[in-house]
Amino acid sequence: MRKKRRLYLMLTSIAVLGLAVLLVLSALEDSIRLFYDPTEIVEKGIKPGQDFRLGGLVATDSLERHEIKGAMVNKFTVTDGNETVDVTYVGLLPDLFREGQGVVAEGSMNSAGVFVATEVLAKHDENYMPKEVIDSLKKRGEWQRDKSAKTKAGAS
Amino acid sequence: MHKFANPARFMRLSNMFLPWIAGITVLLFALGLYYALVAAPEDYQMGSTYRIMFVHVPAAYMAQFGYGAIAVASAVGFIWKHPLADQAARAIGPVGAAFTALALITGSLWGKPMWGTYWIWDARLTSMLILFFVYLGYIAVWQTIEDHARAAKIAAIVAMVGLVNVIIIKFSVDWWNTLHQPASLMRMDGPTIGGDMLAALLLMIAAFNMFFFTIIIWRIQSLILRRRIRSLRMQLGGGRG
Amino acid sequence: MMEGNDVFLLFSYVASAVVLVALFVTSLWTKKKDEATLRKLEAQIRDLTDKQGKK
Repeated sequence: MRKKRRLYLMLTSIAVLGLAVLLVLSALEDSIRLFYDPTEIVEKGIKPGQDFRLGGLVATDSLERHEIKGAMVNKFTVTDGNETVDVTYVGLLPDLFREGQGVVAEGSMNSAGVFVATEVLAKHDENYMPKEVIDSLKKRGEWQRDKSAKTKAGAS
Repeated sequence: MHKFANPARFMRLSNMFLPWIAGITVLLFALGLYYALVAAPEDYQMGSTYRIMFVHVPAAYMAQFGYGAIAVASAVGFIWKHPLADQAARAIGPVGAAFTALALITGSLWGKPMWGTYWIWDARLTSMLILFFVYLGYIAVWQTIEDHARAAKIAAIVAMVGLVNVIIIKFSVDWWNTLHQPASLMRMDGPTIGGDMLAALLLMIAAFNMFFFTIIIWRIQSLILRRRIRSLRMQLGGGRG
Repeated sequence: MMEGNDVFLLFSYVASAVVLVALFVTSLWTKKKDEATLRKLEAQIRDLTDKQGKK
């Protein structure tokens, strides 16, 4: 009987605790999320100068790089398939930064509605694949996603 | 009577199995490392750097596996007052903390070249750091409370409270947007990794798991021996007095 | 051939080796030490009961 009582005591405490944590987490939803996607930014109408993180995919064929006085100026568009936000960033982009890939940028909107990033992080997806497989897919023309950003950067 | 018989039987059985478990661990590590560093091909995006996953994922998995094991053992100890269960839970504490630290270290070594940062306060990374502190708290309970029965009870409560965090770790990448990618292995629609890459990952996870069992057995044996040492010391002290 | 990112790969495997070896050594060493202590105590108790038996 005491064993049964201890079992019930334990199960109810876990249930109550779980419920409490769930409530706290849903209340904190806005601060736990790491970034906002372009649609949310357009809907919320964030004021210029306010610091936040923007997340989404780098739009295909949107990356432009110029060298101004020895600094790399990168311009690209972040999209979530619905809305888009233009981004400028001065500095080195991470290795995994590619068009069509996820990206998380920290910064703020300027008065012209362009997101000025102070930091750009590349988001990796959960897919792993051997180089050779992708190469042979590319040869057969079945791989479209990664239109290399490097060739475009080299051309510009 | 089973209270006294069980630890003795554990000593006997564990000594019998230990050489086998240790042998399998060595074998799995040899095979796993070969697959991880030689057989598995380079990733199409990350090149060779993705091989960090073959230590990062097993470490993170063991951190959570260890905590799950503590929770189960504590519950058994709490409800059925099984002394061996409490000892097992206690033995896992420091090992789980070490694996959590390793997951955090290898994760940040992977994050810097790929994401562009060692650390970010996203839901996955933060909940993993919280797990590390929960482990430290759990160890501290056993270290500071002298009375074994009381320590076991409070440690069990800490273990249960921390269990909520482990569930949050698992689903953090699905519930909130994070920089950390979603699961590649434990997902409903099957793994998003295949071939020799998947083989390397599974072999390394198995190797870490067997390694975990090997050292946990030693640690439980140690705790049982120490209880015996304590009671013998009391006997000796009583004999003199 | 070492590329820029291989340093991170190397460090992560070194860190893993350090943690695993540390866990292995401390666990085994503690167990051996406890075994030795227990054997010593058991011998002491045996001596004590032998002496009491002679009295």
